[in-house]
Amino acid sequence: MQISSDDVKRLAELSRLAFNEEEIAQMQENLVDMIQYADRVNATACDMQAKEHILPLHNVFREDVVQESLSNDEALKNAPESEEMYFKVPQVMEDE
Amino acid sequence: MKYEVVIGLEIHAELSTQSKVFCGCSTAFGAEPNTNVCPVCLGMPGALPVLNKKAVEYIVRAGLALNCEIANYSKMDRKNYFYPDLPKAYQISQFDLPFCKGGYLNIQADGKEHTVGITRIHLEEDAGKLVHTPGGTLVDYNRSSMPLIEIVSEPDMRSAKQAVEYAKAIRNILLFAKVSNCKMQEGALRFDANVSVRPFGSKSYGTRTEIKNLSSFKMLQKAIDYEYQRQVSMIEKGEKIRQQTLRWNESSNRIIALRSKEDAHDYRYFPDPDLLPVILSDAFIEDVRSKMPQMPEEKKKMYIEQFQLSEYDAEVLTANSELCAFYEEVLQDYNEPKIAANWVNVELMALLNQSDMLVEELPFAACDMAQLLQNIQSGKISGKMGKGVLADMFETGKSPEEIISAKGLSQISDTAELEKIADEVLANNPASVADYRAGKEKAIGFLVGQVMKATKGAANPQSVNEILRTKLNE
Ligand SMILES: [Zn+2]
Repeated sequence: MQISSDDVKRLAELSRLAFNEEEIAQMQENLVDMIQYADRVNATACDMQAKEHILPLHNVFREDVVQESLSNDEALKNAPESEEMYFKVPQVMEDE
Repeated sequence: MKYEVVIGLEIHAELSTQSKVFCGCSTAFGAEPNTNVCPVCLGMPGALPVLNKKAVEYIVRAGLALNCEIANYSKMDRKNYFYPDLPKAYQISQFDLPFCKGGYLNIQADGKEHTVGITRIHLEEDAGKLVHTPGGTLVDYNRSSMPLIEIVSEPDMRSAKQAVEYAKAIRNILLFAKVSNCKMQEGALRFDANVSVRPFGSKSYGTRTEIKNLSSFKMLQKAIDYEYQRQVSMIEKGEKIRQQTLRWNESSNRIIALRSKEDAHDYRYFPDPDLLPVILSDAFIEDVRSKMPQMPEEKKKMYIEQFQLSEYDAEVLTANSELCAFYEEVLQDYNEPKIAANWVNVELMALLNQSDMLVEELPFAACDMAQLLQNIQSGKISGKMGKGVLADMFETGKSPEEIISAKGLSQISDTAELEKIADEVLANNPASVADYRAGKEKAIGFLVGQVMKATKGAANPQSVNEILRTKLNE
């Protein structure tokens, strides 16, 4: 499978990453390598269904019991910015 | 040309578990910002989500209530997108293997019964809440990772009315199934509407748009009506409908397009490696089924067969889970199902409708209503007085006993006293007495009226009638 520079640009946009032209070329090469590697894995005979989990486990649940949460101070401790009891982030505009 | 609207709904309902879906934080509404949060729901690196078993039970219950097939094997996936309400930059949801598939719901709308297909119901986590301020956006993650089910319908609705009736019916079912409190004002029930139009008779679908995050039935109705008009006028002008995500702006009563970049549905779903598959045995599913609360259809049947209610009364009661619960509570203290149904459906509903109120907003309890009905039953007050008392209860929240004694209401059922008044009335109205005795049956109406007037309406008209007849025929 091939990866075009447009694919890289699209992925960068979705991932909120900014690349210059040089970096895009570099990423393109890296992604092609990765995909070829995945192709090799796929080509290996394997009984496992794609939907299956890597671990042979299922049904790991917790009971519906409330546990103590963090304090507001603890929750906000590592936030780059906060205001009152909220995390603060650059303004996001909802409308066009 | 005449155009037909085609609507599919995605309904999000918060499940009423005590704790969140992947961590032990409380789901209580109204807590101070960022106080029901932990490393898991804040998306801290290394924190491991673990699925809440109750949430699985609830989604299975919802699926059974909506006639779905329950999957024996399902898994959780990551839906990737960037927005500050999502601390991990992905939402844990379900992609190809949801818990429930292929259900349906019958609804009544536009005077007919319609079947709306349910494509799937999947489990996911809710996102946080954003508060936009001029200086920046504030984020509260209390709602992050609250358990949510998304019920996706087939594009089976052909009018805004049908869509609203379907949404109401879903709410009713979820309430009866006791899986969500469905409190719209708390955002526990939200709708996304997929809307397209096509010429009547056409078999293919037009390009659809999606209106996101409608939080009331009224908004749902208005947004669909608006979007239908917008699409029709675009087509008539020869413009092409663009597939896009829209938002209803309640203050301006119009639709706003979300930025097209946000709108690109490229969520790059992949299985969440942090969560293990869920395998539900048939035994587990049957167990959930056997413990299902009584659903509206079943209740309706019971009301008709055991309580001898009319089809109409049974329908009205079971179309509204709060009303139904109130009715059954009244019956606990007043075991006359037919009379109680009549009072709840006619008198109480009239008061509620007049003031645009909901049953859960009533200022008095079901036991007060039962007490009122007992007072009528025992003859202490007349049915007519009872209506007035009910209106007062509705107005003031006071108990019926309080109102009855404060107003000095009580039906004179003391025969001796009534006979005395009747004698006076007969003595004072010789002309009417003569008329009656001469065969003018109708004259008795006037005499009954006089007795009622003398008792200020506190007498039972039927008893008065009997007493007067006995005396006149003496
Ligand atoms: Zn948490």
